[in-house]
Amino acid sequence: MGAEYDDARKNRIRVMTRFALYEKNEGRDDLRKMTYFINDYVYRKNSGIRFGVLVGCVILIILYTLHKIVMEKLDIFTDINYVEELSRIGVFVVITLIVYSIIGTVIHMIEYRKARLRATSYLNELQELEELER
Amino acid sequence: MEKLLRVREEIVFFYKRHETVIGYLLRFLAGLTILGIVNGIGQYNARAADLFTGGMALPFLLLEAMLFMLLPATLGNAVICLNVVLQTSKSLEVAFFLFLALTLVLVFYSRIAGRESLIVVAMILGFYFRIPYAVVLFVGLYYGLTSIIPVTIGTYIWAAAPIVGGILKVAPVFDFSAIDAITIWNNAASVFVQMASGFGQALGSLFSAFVYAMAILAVFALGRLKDFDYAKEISIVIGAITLMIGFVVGIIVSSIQVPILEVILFVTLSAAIVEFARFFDIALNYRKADQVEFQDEENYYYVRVIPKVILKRMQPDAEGMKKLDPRLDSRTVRARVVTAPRERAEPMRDTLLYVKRDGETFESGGRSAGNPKDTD
Repeated sequence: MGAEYDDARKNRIRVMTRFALYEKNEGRDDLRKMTYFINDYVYRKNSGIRFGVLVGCVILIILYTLHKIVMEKLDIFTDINYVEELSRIGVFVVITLIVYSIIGTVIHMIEYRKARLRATSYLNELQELEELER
Repeated sequence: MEKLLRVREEIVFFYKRHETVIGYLLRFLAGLTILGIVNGIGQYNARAADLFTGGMALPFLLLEAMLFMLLPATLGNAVICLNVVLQTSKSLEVAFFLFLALTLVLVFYSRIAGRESLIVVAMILGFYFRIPYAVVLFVGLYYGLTSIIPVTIGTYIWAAAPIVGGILKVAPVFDFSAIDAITIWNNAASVFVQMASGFGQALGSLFSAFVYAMAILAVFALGRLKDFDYAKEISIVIGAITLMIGFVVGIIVSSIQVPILEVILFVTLSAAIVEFARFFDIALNYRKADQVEFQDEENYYYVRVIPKVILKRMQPDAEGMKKLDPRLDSRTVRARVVTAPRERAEPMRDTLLYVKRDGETFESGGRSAGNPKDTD
């Protein structure tokens, strides 16, 4: 009886330590992710990525313009066909945004699914532990 | 060999016990080293000099290293980038273009890659200590093929750094008291031209990046072959050979300037370092590897079982026990030492139990340790 009680207690301590470690490390992030539906989570994360990509595109446009003016010695008032240049820049920005949105969606979907697996298994085990204690 | 394995077990045990602290400590040290390297640039503006000289230098460095340790990977990298910009602020034009270039790396790569972007920092540290090959072999073994991207970025940054340093030396010092729009524009245009051609020159490093990518591919592909014994060890060796052959071919074909003896020496050293790390990760006993086959209703299974090397736990003697728990009195310690080598319980075996409950007897599949009390 005593040994069985000891084993049960040790087992409970092991399980609770595992829970505590999970809650301390990935658990905090995982459980926060679980407050969103997958589409909302991906959308939210992708918004940040798109904003960053837009900032990056603006920097690239600045450098491209500087290249035209400084390296190619073009006059910005007479030598540049603005319609052509703007449409080229527009296509570049749109393609970059689409590519990064796809990459972001794939990455964050995988991330969310992994988090959901971990969180589900954690919650199930927690429920089992609670039932054992009753 | 057993002694070595015992030492390994002790170190792994120690690491697992203090994993969080060691993780933070390593990150702090990495931050301190990389920021120390960046601080070596030393071309800062007179207005920022207070941060890098005198009494403020050490606290500022420690603060930055702590930020690198505590912040997520992307923000940690941003701290390093800001330090680079401050260090090059002697010429505000160079600092501005560097800021733009580093921001591009942050928004287009670091923000998406998260932790993997720390490989860029690891590569720069690797170059500094002349063992970037160790990072290459390590990421091939433990990360996916996506690690080729940060390895390439790190290689390119390392190649561009001396070129930017050269530009900084000849760039005009920015004078806040004499701001003149035309002078600023002329200086900026001149720096832009130099930096554009400098970044173009640094593209020559892409051959090295290609060799690194081939090595990562080789290590990644071979390290995951489950049917071969010592697949991971072999993959490290093949990765090292790929690096050596790659650089020899580079010298012959594209006449790149690489001291080949140094490459062979440091590649060998790097392979030894990565093998050392792998040994601490997992130690398998391939001699006792076994192949088992079984089936259920849906599938037929071929399973390869390779036992881990697990040493028998040493029972602590009286002194060891007292060290573990000083509150124990000597009688308890003696009693525990006497009963320490307890016999292991009989292995569990599947049995059919006859269980009697509420006056009814029924059969139940279960597990028993052969204790008659279990069936009472």
